[in-house]
Amino acid sequence: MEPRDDFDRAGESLRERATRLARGHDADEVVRLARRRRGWQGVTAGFATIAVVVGILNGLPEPSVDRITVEPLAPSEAAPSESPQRSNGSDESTGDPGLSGSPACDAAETAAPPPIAASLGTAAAAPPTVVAGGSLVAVDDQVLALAVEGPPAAALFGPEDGWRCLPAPELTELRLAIGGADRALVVGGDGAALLDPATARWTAVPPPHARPVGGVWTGQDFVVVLEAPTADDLSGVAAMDPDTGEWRELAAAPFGVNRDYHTSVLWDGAQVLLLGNWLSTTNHASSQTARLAAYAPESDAWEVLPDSPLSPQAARAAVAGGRLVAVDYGQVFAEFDLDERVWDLPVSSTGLAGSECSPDIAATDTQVVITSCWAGAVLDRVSGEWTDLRFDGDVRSPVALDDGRTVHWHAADDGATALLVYEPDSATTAAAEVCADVTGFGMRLADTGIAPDEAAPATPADLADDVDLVVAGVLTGATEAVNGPGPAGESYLAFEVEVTEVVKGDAGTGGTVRVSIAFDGDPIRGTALAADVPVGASVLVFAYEVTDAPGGWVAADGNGFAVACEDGPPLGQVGDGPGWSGLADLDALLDAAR
Amino acid sequence: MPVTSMVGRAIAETVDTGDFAIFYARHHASTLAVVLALRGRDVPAEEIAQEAFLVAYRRWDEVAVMDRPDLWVHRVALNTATSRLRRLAAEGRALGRVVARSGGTEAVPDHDADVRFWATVRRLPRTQREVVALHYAADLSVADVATVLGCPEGTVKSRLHAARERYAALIAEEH
Repeated sequence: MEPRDDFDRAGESLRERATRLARGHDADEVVRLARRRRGWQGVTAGFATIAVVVGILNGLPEPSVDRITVEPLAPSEAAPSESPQRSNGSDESTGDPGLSGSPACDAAETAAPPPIAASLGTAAAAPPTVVAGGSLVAVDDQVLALAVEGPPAAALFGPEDGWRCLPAPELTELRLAIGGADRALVVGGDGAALLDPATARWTAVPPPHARPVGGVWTGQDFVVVLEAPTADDLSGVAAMDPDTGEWRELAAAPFGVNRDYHTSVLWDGAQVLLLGNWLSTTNHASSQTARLAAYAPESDAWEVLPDSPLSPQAARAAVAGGRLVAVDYGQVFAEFDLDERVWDLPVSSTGLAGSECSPDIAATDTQVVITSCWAGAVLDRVSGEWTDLRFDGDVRSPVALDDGRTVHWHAADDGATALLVYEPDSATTAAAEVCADVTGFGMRLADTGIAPDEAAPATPADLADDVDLVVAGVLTGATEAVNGPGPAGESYLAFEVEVTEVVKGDAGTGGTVRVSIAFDGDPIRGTALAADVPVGASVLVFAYEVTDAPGGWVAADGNGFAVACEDGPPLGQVGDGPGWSGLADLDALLDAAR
Repeated sequence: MPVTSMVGRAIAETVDTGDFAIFYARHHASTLAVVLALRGRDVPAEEIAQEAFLVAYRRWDEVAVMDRPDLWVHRVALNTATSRLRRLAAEGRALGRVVARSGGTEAVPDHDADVRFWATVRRLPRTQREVVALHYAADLSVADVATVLGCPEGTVKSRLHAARERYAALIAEEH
């Protein structure tokens, strides 16, 4: 028997910690979560028509449009457990026999539709290189979308140009993005970069000296509030003039903050507002409620404002119309008068049920839009009335546009992503459809539920050396799945490729090969991967010869199956790192692989 | 007690929540330990573990009849912890859950030595940190780890050995 060592001791300690944490949970939580998700899926299927379009803002050419139509539901329809409506009767992918035909379901389907009061949203395809859950910031008159993890792939959406893919800043991860008047600041794990949207160029700049929790553009500087190491520390604050790219230290905040999703850093035109507090890893807060303070740049001084009436957990805020508006996970809603320096009391409620989700909030002069996973609420700031919204996926990262609209990420359960625009006046917008099917397919390819073992080989040529087959071609649409969900969860799905060029391996131009990818066996994910394969789309695969996957080839884990829109950058399972970034299209990847 | 909710009907035909609750109670902490080892942060880790059990619940008719459903759930938890999109979704849902236990659960201190240990483990290659998490955090035998990962026991042993060597090298680099 081996002597007890660090591994044994740390393992035992971690199990004790897990056991203590587990005391707060029981199986009922899982059952409730399963019911809730099923309920949301059911109710939204009847109301939301989803298709992917690329343009979202006014001024685009007239086109046929498919929209996400998000219609408000009557209050009585709000409870997910009372919403059994489904779009069809069965779901073979999950073994779900469906509800159609049951007395309760029939009754619901024949009931009158809920009244429609207002609100339409339109969807825009996610930018080609950005995954779900990304960060959105407004910069100039455009929206900058960034992947939230991994190398921060980026794209800009503008009313004139539609989506414009950007070279990725050479950062290991995305920690903070701030939009400015004509530039955006992105802070990663190992550096920072400024984006000039006019030239689509990134300029490397030094990062702040500590991890940023939030930040704003003040009109002169990017100001970031930094993570406090402990509950007893204050958060440092730093400012960067984008013209010099240099940081300078500002007065420390009057309290510490440490998590971006519990913290809001805002600019109201004259002062930086900080709402939040410090939370331990076990979610014990440093204060009873979320704290509030204001920083005046001209005096480099902070003013402690009255503590908020909101939970110290997941309180999020926005500023518009001379007021700070905030919401917490319990859907308690509060407003702070920036002139009078007081919170409006008593607080109110958004009307949504307290949620498992951290809420997001965006505000304009006329409306407040709150989203919380699959639900949302809109406050008409004139009438004071709330309207419920429902979505068929997570809705996050709102950005308020100057024209009164708000833009949100929309991530469906199957991994499809889009942007959702909330338009208070119900105006419709449109644009031409471009490359949406390839984009969606690439995103599904990138999230197989199984992360690659290691970092990608340094260059495509290195990977080509490792594998047995490198071919370019087009997808025929044929697929084949094997190994079904097994004890270890993995499955294989083969995609047939008509070969147009062979870089390495035993394949003939003009013939076909079947290249598998491994995924985690989740039936929903498998169905999504096999469905809507963009026939004719260009691909480049790096694959190993195998015996246990259909076709005899399996794509190199995490790096070996790239697809692209015409002249677009490689999507899907593509390596990261400097040797892989900046590849303009599949031809560039092909050249790099030789 | 069977689930009888109208919305839960599709699941109810096969799920006996009593059986599932027993399964959950027995294996939740172990699964959570694996995710904690791989991810580090408590709240998202709890969500990721919940996601794994949610998958098991949805497929309980298949999972319940497995010889070792606990090992299957560990595998799902591993996948979930390493899938970007799944992890993002779990982290986004992380906050509300703490409500139920706020005030009712004592603070769980982070011991510096343990934090450093697992932070170092997370710097190991994925194949190595997974075997460490399963063997030491979940206290699974080498045979069970092999089952979870779908590889031979000898591979698990060699990965554990490599992990220990790499860990020692990383610690040496820090000093």
